[in-house]
Amino acid sequence: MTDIDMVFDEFEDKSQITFRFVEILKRSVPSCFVELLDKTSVFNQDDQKTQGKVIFFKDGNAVFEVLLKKIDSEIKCTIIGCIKGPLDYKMLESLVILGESVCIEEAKNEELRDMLKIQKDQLNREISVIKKKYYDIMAENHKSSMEYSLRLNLEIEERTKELKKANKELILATQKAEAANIAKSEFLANMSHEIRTPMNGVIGMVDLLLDTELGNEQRHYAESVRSSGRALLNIINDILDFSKIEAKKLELENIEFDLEKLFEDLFPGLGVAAHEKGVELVWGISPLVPRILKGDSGRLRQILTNFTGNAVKFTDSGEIVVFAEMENTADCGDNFVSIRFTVRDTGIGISKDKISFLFNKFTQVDTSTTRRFGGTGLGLAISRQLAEMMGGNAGGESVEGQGSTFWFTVCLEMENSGERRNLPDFTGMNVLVADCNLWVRRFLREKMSMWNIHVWEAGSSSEAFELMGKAIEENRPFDIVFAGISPDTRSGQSLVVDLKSDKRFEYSRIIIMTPIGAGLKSEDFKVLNFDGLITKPVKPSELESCISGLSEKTQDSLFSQKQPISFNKSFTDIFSGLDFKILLSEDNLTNRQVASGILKKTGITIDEAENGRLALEALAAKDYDLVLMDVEMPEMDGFEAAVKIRQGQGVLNPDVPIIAMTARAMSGDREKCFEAGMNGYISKPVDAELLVLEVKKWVAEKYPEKVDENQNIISGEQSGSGTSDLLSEDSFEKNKKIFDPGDLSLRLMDDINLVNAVLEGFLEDIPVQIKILKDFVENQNLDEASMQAHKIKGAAANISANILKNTAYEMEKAGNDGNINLFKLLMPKLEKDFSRLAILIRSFMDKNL
Amino acid sequence: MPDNNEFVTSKALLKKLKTVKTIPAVAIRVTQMIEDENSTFHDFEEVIKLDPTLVMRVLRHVNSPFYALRTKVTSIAEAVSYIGIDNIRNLIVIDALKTLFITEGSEELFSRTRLWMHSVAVGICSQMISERIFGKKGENAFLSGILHDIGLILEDQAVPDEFYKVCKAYRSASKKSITLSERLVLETDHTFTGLVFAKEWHLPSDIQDGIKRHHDIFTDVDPMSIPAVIQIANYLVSRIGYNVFIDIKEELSQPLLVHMKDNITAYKLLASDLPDFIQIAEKIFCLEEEDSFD
Repeated sequence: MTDIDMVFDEFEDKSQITFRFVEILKRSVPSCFVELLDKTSVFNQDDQKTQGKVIFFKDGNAVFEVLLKKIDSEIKCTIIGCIKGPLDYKMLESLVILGESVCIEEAKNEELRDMLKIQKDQLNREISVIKKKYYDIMAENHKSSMEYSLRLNLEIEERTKELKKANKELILATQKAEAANIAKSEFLANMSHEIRTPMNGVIGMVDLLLDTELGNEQRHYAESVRSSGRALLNIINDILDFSKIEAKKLELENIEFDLEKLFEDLFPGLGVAAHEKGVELVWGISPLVPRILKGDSGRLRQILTNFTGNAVKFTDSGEIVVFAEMENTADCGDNFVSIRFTVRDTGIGISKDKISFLFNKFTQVDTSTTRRFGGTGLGLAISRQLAEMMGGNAGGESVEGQGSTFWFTVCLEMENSGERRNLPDFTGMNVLVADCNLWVRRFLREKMSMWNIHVWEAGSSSEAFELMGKAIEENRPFDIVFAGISPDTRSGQSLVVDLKSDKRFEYSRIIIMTPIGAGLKSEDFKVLNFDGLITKPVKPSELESCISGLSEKTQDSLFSQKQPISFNKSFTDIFSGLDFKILLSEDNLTNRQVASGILKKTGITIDEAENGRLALEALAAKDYDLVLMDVEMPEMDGFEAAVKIRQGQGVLNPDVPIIAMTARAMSGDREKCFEAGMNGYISKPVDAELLVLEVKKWVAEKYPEKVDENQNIISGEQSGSGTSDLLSEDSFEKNKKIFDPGDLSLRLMDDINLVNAVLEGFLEDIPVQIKILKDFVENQNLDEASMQAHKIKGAAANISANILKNTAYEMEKAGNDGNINLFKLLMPKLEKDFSRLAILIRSFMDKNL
Repeated sequence: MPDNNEFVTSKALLKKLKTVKTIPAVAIRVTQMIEDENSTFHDFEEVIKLDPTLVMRVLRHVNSPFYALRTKVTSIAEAVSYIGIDNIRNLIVIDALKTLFITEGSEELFSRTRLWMHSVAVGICSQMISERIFGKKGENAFLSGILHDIGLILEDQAVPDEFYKVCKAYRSASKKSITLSERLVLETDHTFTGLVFAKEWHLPSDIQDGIKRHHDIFTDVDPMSIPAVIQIANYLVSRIGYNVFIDIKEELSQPLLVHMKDNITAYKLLASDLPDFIQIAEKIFCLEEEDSFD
């Protein structure tokens, strides 16, 4: 403390305190006793003598001098005053010393007060500084955090902006990709259409070309064109299907159909292919599966064809079993059933890891497969997608080297409304099925059991023989024995021989089951005295008629029964002689030629218009019975034209039926056609059969009496009319089918000489050709026979002899199908046709002479 | 400008110093950054983090009894938000410069340790004067006080031999001022050198002022200004034993004498608290840094 005090020594002023003392003394010593001299002087004095003493008295007052020891030890102060009255010096001195003490204490107090005040000030200042600091720090913190959050916000904003931009780009990219994909699918769909149209033109024209007279080489080339064209068309159809499915533009039909009929129609073709390879094709439908269903039978057929086709492709021996059964686990909803279709083969099989890839588009097991077996690789993918569209699925299992099983399920609507078909009843009949294939036996047994037939099975000749012997012994001989011939070993033939040679078995009828397309050799016919023949895969309908035919004990050979192989009805000339005029409005030349070519073959009258406007003009000039209207045409399209016709704009018959022809197989077109007032709809490329059927519908409207219930044209030619009938006037129309001289003359530009020359040549040539044909048949040379039939067909067509042409055509087809049976059957008809034709030609030539 | 020569010399001196001593770059960047309006605590922390030991030293200071915070501070940003950016700057600058004061040779004529103690005392006292007498924030006064004689140590570091001569001259002629002795030998003095240094570090202008003018003989001066405050502090501490050279007491300009006389009780009070404060500060800013801390 003293150190610090010393620091401030130089700032001290001692005189101040002396003055203060005097003030106190003046104030506190009563003036009656002490009166300070007027001139109070305070001074420093070194003189020691006078300390604390009264120096003198003056006017009765004592003048004194006091040393203020306590106030200042160093500085000597002298106060000079005088004392009045009776006051002695001692008292005075005490008073002064007291005053001095009071003065010092007062000064101390004052200083302390000052100090406290200043200390308070300093503390206040310090508090205010601390506050200031606090506020500054707060402000600083606030500013800093604001700045920081501002910067964060900016950063967030920037990031958000970047994200938004990236998002936008992504969305854009996705949209682009989606658009590109849709565009791709649409492009594919459109392209497939665009390709299909000219392809149909090509095939249609080749069909027409093949109907003309061609040299062998030319024919061979043309047929190659046709088969390549068809193959290409199949591929295009696959791609079209696929792209339509992808673009979600494939529409499924919902039409009632007979599942068994579908199988019956589907498998002869595939059966031929299988049997050619020596593979047994068997099919069966579980009795639990409803026969009449509603759905898209065409697509169902497509999947079945694909699966079975694959099986045939990849199987070289053994069997292919196609089976339909109920899939009870699946739930399709009320009134729907799920059906599982299985195609099992004993082919080369596929390794497990590869089977799942098969259902991907454009995938085959490996590329060498593509080279070996062909195909687009789209079939299974399409099949699966179709199955999925039908509420099911598709898949496959396989063991490499042992075979594959492919399956698919679909949901189909049950058709409840239809009355239950009455099953045939053959109660009491005993039948033996002898075939080395288990599945053949099993399906036949299943089927016949439902008809109340008692069925036994034999897997070999010896077993069959044994069972028959036993049956005789037990006095319940078999009414019918079905003896199956397998496509590879031809086993079963000897059984028939043995059975027939054993007199014990006379009672039993023997029916041979021969693989379709295999044909029988002539010696078989001679040796085998069998009672009937049906083809494998067995059609239930055929089986039924076969059994019922036998059970009626008709002695006729079963050959008089319905032929096992149904051939396509030819539409040739079915409408000839009818007054039915068609206007074909189509801008594409080839399409026009194909459509009109097809229709002209039916003997119908057809006019052509290149667009809607021209069609309207034609309709104004002539009263047509039907208009075939392409929807896309220049100048005026089909929709517009249809609307104008219905409005009656100058046309003779505003109600004329209009059938739309559209290449747009896309959804919604149908509705658009009907909206425009059209009556029907066929899609392009035009399918000949569909076109004719459509036309037939409208012919039936006009000539109900010409068409029977089943819409079959009642043709008058099958009655065995004699020569006299042929030449009578009223049979002119009929005769025109046998021979149409008008047509011939027209084609030969009414050159009578030329007509006669051609006809003479024909009459000379054809008997020779028929002789050659007979020889080929005799020699079992079916291929050559078929060619020969074709030749005759061409010649007949050339002179407008349609019936002969048709018969020859049927023979050619039978030959191509490998059906020698049918071929032989048709032989007498051909000869008969020719003899009738010859009569008419001669009569015509006579007239001309 | 008559001062031009001294500036040039001081600059040369500093340049020379840099070849001898490394001054932490982080400290310079931090002081520069504080002057930048747009920088935030976080930027600040990012820079300080570059020197992890500095971060630890700063946090130890902040958590010391000197600041008597209630919470333990664990990050620079947190420290800044508690004691303010100016205090953090002070800590960092002091931290960077302390190494200059570490003694290597004889302290016979001139003691670096003594100078450091003097500097700390002047710093503390300046802050007290600012805050107690004038009710003004004292952080800048503190730093300026600590740095007012920085020129001396810089000279000692840069040109030790010449500086020795200065000290010798100064001791022998006791009436002469130290700056006069410096100029005779070095052609500059520590107020110039200190100013150049402060400018280089982008220290605020009042701090620079304090360094430059603490020896000026003022005829008219605002006692609140930092040079005045430092002069008063110098005067006070040199009288209680914190002088640079033993027995040499600093002088005070006339207007400041009058000011002190007028406020003698206030200064007495302040002076009575001064020794305690200096003692606390000495502990914190002592030259011997322990390497480990809790």
